[in-house]
Amino acid sequence: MAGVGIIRSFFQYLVISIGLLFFALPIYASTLFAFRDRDGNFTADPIRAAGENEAIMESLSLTMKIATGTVLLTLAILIPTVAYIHLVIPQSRGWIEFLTLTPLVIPPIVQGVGFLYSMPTSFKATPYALIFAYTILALPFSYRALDSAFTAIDLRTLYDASVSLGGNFFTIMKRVLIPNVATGIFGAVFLTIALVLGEFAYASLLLWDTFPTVLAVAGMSGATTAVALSVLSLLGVWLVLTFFTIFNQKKTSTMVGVK
Amino acid sequence: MALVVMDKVRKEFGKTLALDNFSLTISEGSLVTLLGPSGCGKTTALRILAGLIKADEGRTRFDSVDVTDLAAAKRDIGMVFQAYSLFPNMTARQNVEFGLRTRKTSNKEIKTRVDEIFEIIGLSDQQSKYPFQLSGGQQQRVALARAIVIRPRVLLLDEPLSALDAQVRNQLRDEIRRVQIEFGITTLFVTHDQEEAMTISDMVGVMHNGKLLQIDQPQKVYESPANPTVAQFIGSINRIPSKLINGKKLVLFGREHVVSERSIVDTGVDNVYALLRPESISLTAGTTGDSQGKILRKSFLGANTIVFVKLFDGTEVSIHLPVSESEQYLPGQGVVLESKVESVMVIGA
Repeated sequence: MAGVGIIRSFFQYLVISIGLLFFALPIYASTLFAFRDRDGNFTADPIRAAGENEAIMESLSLTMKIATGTVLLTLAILIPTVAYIHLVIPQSRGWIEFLTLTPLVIPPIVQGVGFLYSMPTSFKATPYALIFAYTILALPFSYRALDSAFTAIDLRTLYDASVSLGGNFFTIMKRVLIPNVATGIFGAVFLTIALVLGEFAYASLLLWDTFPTVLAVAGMSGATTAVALSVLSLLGVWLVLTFFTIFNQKKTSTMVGVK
Repeated sequence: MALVVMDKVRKEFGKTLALDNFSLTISEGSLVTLLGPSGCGKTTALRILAGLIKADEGRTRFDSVDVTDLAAAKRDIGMVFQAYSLFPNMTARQNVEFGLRTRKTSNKEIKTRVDEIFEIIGLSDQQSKYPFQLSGGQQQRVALARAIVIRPRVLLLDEPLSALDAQVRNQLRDEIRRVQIEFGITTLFVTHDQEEAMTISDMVGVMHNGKLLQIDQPQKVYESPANPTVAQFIGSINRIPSKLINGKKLVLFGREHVVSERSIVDTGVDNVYALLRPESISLTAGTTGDSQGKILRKSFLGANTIVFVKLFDGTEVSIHLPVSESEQYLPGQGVVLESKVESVMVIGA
């Protein structure tokens, strides 16, 4: 029996190691490519070059604004919607979950054209129209993050208790529901940000200069700068995600007694 | 406190009839318990009273005010749930303060009332703890405090003790009753536990299949059940195969008894079952000729002993006897049984 256990542990570690290598190797290779000069020494020149490139900095600023707008719109729509689904039509959860997957299977060109047709003209003329498109694109990830968080709490009882104590919709949302689904909200926020920072197809199709599209253009003239920024943005998202995951774990452990 | 009236309430969930022509009156300051098996409609009645679900038909009134269409948040109710319902992100004190804050009570008043209620439930030293740091019993006491501190017109208790272990359940049951009497709050308590219902209530309503079968004082429901369903649900009861002659003479344990019409329910047949409480049967030692059954075993209950007798027709009968009396009977011994027929109920076999 001990032999079987050792073999099982060995295979577990093997699979995890292969998985880690699969993710880490390209990043490691990109880092070497971007931050080494001809003599093989470390150099920050690609970052310096990016800082001096006005188009890159402007696109980064625009993308962060779009990311903020997308996060706010996603949360404003999804938190009450998911709460409503769990409270009023829980039997439809399977279908709704399936529907939220559709942005993954509809080609961007179809979504982009549909999006252009459905938007009012005044919105089409601004890059912030992408907020609406990205909110839909992020749906498969943001919905799941929130759905899991709502599933983890006894929403019906908490809601009924709040209502019986005289709570109105806003009080219940602010003081009871949102604090208890914070884990899901953090998940939805960072998955959405990661998606906006990396989304290329929509912005390119709709001819807006967001961070990923500018990076692609920059990569044609100076590959190291583009790769360096890609690596940094990836690490940035990971760091923020890790920080909030740890922060939220501590907060959750205070609430539910996880040691 | 308020006089609560539910009048001819009906509620269906799809094809399931949860409440059928349900009427209930709870007088001011009294505690009424709805008792029944799972799915009998008792929680539906409570949730309609709370305003958490809407009835298909019928009206609900608090005093003379019709609250049928009033939202739950405006009904001025306090509620304690079966599941632990404290808000996990708030301390015990913040939980208790919640209802007062939604009512925009002044900070001074909140402090006074919350301090007082924690004193009453004996958890003054636990106020700063989060729900996960409290035991199940403590959590339900805080939930009770949270429901009472707002001084509701009606207190609704939805099986608040069912998740607790026996000892804590008994303690909290007594505490609920003490606090309810102290504050004089009109209370509806819902449970499937008959002991809980009997010990805590001014009135007990027995429900079955969405209908209120009987509502009366606990002792009356036990001693004079309105029908066999109530009789079989409240307390333990023996179901003894018997014969009914001419619709009024019951042959039980080899003797004929005239039974009142009121005791005979829904039967036009001769072969019947006599429903008898274990304390309504007496025993005497039998001889070889007159024994009707043999002692199977005895279970010691403290003040009483349950003596199980197997009749010669195979029926098993349980009898409650004082411990001193039960000591004379031993397993295998032949016995003669006699019943107090005034408490018998007869149903068709």
